[in-house]
Amino acid sequence: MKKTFLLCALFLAFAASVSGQQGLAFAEKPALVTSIGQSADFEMIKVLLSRAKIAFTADPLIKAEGLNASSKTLILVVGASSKGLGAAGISAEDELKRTNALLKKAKELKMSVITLHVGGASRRGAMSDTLIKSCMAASDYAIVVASGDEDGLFTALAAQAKIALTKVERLSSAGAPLAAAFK
Amino acid sequence: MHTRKSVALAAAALLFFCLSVPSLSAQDIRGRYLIQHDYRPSDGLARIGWLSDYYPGLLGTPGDSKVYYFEGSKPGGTLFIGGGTHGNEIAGIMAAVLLIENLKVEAGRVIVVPNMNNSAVSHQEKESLLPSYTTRGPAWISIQSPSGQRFFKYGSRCTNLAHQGVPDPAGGYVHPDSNEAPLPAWEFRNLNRAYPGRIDSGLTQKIAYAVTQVLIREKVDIAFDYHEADAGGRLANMMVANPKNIGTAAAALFDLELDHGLSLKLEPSNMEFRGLSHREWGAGTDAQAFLTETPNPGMVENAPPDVDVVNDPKNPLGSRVAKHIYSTLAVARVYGESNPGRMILMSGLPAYEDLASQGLGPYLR
Ligand SMILES: [Zn+2]
Repeated sequence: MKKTFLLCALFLAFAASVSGQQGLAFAEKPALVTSIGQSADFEMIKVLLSRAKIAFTADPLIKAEGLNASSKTLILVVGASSKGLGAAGISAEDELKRTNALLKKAKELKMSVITLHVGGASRRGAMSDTLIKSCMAASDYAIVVASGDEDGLFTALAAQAKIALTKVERLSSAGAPLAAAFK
Repeated sequence: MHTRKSVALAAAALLFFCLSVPSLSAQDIRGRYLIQHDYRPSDGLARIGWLSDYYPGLLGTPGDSKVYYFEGSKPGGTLFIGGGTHGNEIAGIMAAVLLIENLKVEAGRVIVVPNMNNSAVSHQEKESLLPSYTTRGPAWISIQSPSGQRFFKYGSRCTNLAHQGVPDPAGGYVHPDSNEAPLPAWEFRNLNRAYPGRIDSGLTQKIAYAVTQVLIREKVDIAFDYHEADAGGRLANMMVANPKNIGTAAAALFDLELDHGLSLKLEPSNMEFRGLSHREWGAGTDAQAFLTETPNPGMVENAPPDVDVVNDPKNPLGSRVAKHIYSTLAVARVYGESNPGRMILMSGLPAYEDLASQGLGPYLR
């Protein structure tokens, strides 16, 4: 009985996530991927993009001035690492400023924006959440590893921004929905 | 007169003995202070050497340790694997032992040092200065293998104070190249704060020097340092990679998830924090440097003194050993794909899922 209920719940959740997805591929190639928070998740996403055969350039620290029309889609790998920020010699405040300026420029350039959060619960917390809120407010689509949305933050932010959110069990499963988002 | 003559004769006899069988006397000194670890190498073993082959100052000290060499019939790259940097991080030691007892190398070479800090492995001093997590756990673990019960030493984090030869620095330990604040004084005896090592300091620093020489002289392509961490903490289930080879690490971790459903976190070395293996090996040698951390229930704060570090229901030893070994295999494969002439091909090892579910026992000799 319990099991049937669980299965039904799972099916409904799956159906909801599918219907919530963008019906059509909306993003254009090539993509530019950047890190928002300087975690090593950025390195993992570069592998994911290569394996999913999505053409991209990567710059973890790109600033608004560096953005131009040669890239059509901006991919944000969000999640803060104090270690990563320290190694790059930038403060959390600087990172937030760079993010907001970058997103403003992307909008001017009419780029598509996709947020990826793949670090799970360990990439949440005050510093990450501030960056996540900025990213989600300016995105067209988001893909997150489910353990990062246990408190429903991404679900709420996606509803607020009226964008589709796809939750995956693990990082390597993000490749299929990401590839499907590209024309 | 008579006495003087016998002394002279005895001296001559001794001299003759020393000159005629120098290898025997060296053999006597080697391992003089060490535990006779019961490891039973596979038929794939080419030879056994010592850390003191790379720095003779270690000869006859408790810091000397065996080095196991496996060589393929085809040329390729060289993989270095170290366990027992911290003697209480038993999955690192046992992953190295599992390799020693099963490994066959088809191409390239594999060098395994199961007890990188043999002094730390040998003792479990309950020093009042050391935090309890550095020494908590059993003195030995036992594992049932097909040939009977086997015993393996469970040590502590740091070099024995009595072996170090130099007192812990008053005012705390500062790595010679560090600009950071001093660490607790006992970190002077932490092998993973001592790289690249030096010969004018304590035993820990000399061991680090010898390990660095292994990497340089053997032209190591890939170097792994196996560790464990607090089971619930930030470090557990992580691969740390030198920034120069973080791309290799990322691709390997991606494959691990696809192939085995194993998700490990990834972090680059902090280049300001000096003395750590992945940081110094990567910067000071040609090797791509990696460190893996698995969850050890004995390193959890307030773990009971009789904590079972082998049969933990959540993180049994077999699954921890599997994580170390399969992370290494994944890195070697990714490295070989981009450096075809330096491929390292290995066989003879149990499947990830079998090792994780059945434990080490069936795969020890
Ligand atoms: Zn350790």
